[in-house]
Amino acid sequence: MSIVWLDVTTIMGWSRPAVGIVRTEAECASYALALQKTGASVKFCVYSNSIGYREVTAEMVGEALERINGRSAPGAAPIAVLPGEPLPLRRRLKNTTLAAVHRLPLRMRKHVFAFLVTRKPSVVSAWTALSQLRGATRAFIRPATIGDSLSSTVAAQNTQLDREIPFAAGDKYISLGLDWDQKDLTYLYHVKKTVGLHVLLFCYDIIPVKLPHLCVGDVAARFALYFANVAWCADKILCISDCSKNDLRELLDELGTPIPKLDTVRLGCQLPELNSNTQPTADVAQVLQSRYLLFVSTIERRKNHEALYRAYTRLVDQGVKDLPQLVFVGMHGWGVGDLFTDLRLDPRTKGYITVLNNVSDSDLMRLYKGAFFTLFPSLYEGWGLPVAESLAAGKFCLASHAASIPEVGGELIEYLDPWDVSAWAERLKWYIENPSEVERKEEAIRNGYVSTKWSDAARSVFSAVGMN
Amino acid sequence: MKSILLLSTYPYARPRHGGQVRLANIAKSFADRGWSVIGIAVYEPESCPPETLGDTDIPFPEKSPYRQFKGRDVPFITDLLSGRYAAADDGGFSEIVRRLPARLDAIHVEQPWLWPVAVRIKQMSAYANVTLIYGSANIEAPLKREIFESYGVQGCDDVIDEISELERIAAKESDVAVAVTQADLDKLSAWGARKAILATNGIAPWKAVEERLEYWKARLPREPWMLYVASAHPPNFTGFHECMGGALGCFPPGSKLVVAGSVCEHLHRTLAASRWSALNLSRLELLFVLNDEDLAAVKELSHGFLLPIPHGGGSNIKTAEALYSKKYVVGTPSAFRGFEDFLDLDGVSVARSPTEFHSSIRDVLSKPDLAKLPDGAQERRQGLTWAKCLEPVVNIAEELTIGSNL
Repeated sequence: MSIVWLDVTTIMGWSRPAVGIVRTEAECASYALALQKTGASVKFCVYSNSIGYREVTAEMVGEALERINGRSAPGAAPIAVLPGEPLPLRRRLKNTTLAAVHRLPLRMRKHVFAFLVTRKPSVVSAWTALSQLRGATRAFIRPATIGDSLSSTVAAQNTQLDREIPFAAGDKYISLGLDWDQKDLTYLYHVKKTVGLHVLLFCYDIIPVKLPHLCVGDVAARFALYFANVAWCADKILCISDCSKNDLRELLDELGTPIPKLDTVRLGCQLPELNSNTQPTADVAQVLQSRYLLFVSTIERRKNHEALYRAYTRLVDQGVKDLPQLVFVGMHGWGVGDLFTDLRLDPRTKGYITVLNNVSDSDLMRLYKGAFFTLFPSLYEGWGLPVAESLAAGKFCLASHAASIPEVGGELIEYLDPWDVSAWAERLKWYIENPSEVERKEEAIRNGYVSTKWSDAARSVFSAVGMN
Repeated sequence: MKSILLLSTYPYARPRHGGQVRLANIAKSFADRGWSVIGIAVYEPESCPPETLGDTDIPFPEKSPYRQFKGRDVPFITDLLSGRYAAADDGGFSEIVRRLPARLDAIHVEQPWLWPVAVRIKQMSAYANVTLIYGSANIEAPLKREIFESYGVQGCDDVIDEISELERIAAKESDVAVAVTQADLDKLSAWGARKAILATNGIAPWKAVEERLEYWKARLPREPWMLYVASAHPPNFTGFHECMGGALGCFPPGSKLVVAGSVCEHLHRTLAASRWSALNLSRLELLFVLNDEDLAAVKELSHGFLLPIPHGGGSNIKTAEALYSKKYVVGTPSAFRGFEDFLDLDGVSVARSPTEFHSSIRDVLSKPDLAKLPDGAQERRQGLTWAKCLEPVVNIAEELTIGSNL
């Protein structure tokens, strides 16, 4: 009987709360654990470059989920280590740094983290440069001939190809984590062909290829290689939106790869639980005291916080009365240094725009429930989870019409050109001055919106390999 | 014994590129039929190492005033300028005359550049009856224009005009003009060639040595892979991008496009600067220039040949080798120019767009090794050898020089 293997490499090496891609793998892992208990032929595996694929137990997966959900036993290691894997130096340095940051008080931690995250590209560049310098020095001292360099490359590849593989003919393999970072798809292709493995892979979006200028570093070429290898490995690729599916098909056509079966799956959206035993932080409590508009997202160029800032300056210049607070909730990301300087120095928006990060699940829930309405001006998305969260909280959203966002909001929300600041200013003003319209929209959402449960999303993933 | 003078702008004692290989085989074909063959190449010393030269070759000095075209420095036309130098009294002509035998039955001019030299030799009383053969390896004017355009060289219409005029004169004045493709043959006839014949490019059969096969098998991919062999002639890498749409995603992980020849560094540069550089470089394996033994082994181990020749006249020796190999061949329509009769062979695919190239390559790499399947076209493939292809040239030379040794 064929086995369905769920690759859990990402969550096994994860120690922070699960968001985005990590959440998807975590939810599928939870679903798979439940399936196993019913007797279904489901197993778990991880991949590492040094050992290849190996099985991990349900207990180990359970522990990883506990850690991610913040429910680990006291004294448990805060940093995840992939079982049996000797950590490379770079990973050890990263883990040591993260562990040190985690020991800091919460108020300090967010500043230190914001400081470090903006410098990550420079650290990565320096590390890469040092590695290349080491390689160049070695090649200078002992130059290789064409045959030598080929033979050592082929020898390394052949060693990989001779490793033990836990899969059997007809087995099905699902991977939906941080594959571009953690998997060797050349090796997976070999495994697939050798064993006769049926492979299901994921495509969240192709933004690094389509809009590389909105991503950190020169990523287009690297991700094109990744997607090309995905196309060769997968019998089927699940995309998280029709937009991502169409983008991927177009890219694969241009790259010359085969185009496997492409399907769409809806990701889950379940709002965090409000723990009534806790109190909101002081920052959140202050926000909750007055009317506010909420934008939940990492603060980075692609998410287009700039448009809202500019729209607000126009509203201030126009003398619009009773402007609600504009609240940004998210980590400080890439390419927004100038925006933060503007927010800090622009006297027009002083007192109108609040930035929060490291917000707990309960506080996030409070912020959603208390918002006047939400905003999502993103330039491009693979899905648009904050729009789904807004609808799940019963809140109207004024959103960008770009990419997949209309697939999330359907007819229930309003869409604007993310580049049209005047339109944003005009519509913000209109809704601010016509709160009854917001209430009307909320009623339509209450009557018409059905949230996708994570269990439904996970069921769709396993259905894609014939496990219902 | 009849004698023939071969005039060219490149030596052929140690042939590397296609033009040299063709000329070396022309020399061999005549020699095999009992002719005495003298080759004089008026060559660029900066491009030809001493070990590649023959005893009678003449350098075109770098500092010669003939290196300028009407007082201008124009790149990529040393071949044209060498003809002017070679035919000039204050150039190389006296050196050429010093190397001539007492008797000549025929002069074969390979490409049009040294045609003025052949004409001057025939004007000498000792060689008044010599038969003039114009060997057109390409229609040169459009090819030169293409090179100028690739490199952004402007304001050289007068150069193109002169080349075109030279080709027409050579075709018209020759006793026989030799074309390598039917299309070129039609062109030469239209230009007024009294006699025009077809002699396509051929190949020298190769046999790989077992030790070299084992050596390369251990170093090249286990997955089926394709081979591209080419020189550093610009269309070989500028056109590659055009044919493949700038992407090598049609090669599965673990497979490669293996490249041999002096095209390697140029192709690497082109692909490293491409939008999909990481993907393209991951599918590329560069072997640079290989000796004949290694090349034979690599050709034997390949699953198929890639011929991404975008356009241009002439016919390609690499095409002939690919068709002879009994491997899969994927190429542009231009690549098969002169070999149209072979398009129906098993494993031959013509691709007219990047989409077709991608699809054909994916298809080929998924199929079994063609060399292991029965071959119903062995005799047809033998027709691709140099001996067979150049027979018409020697035949017509013998016909036109009947009685000349009396």
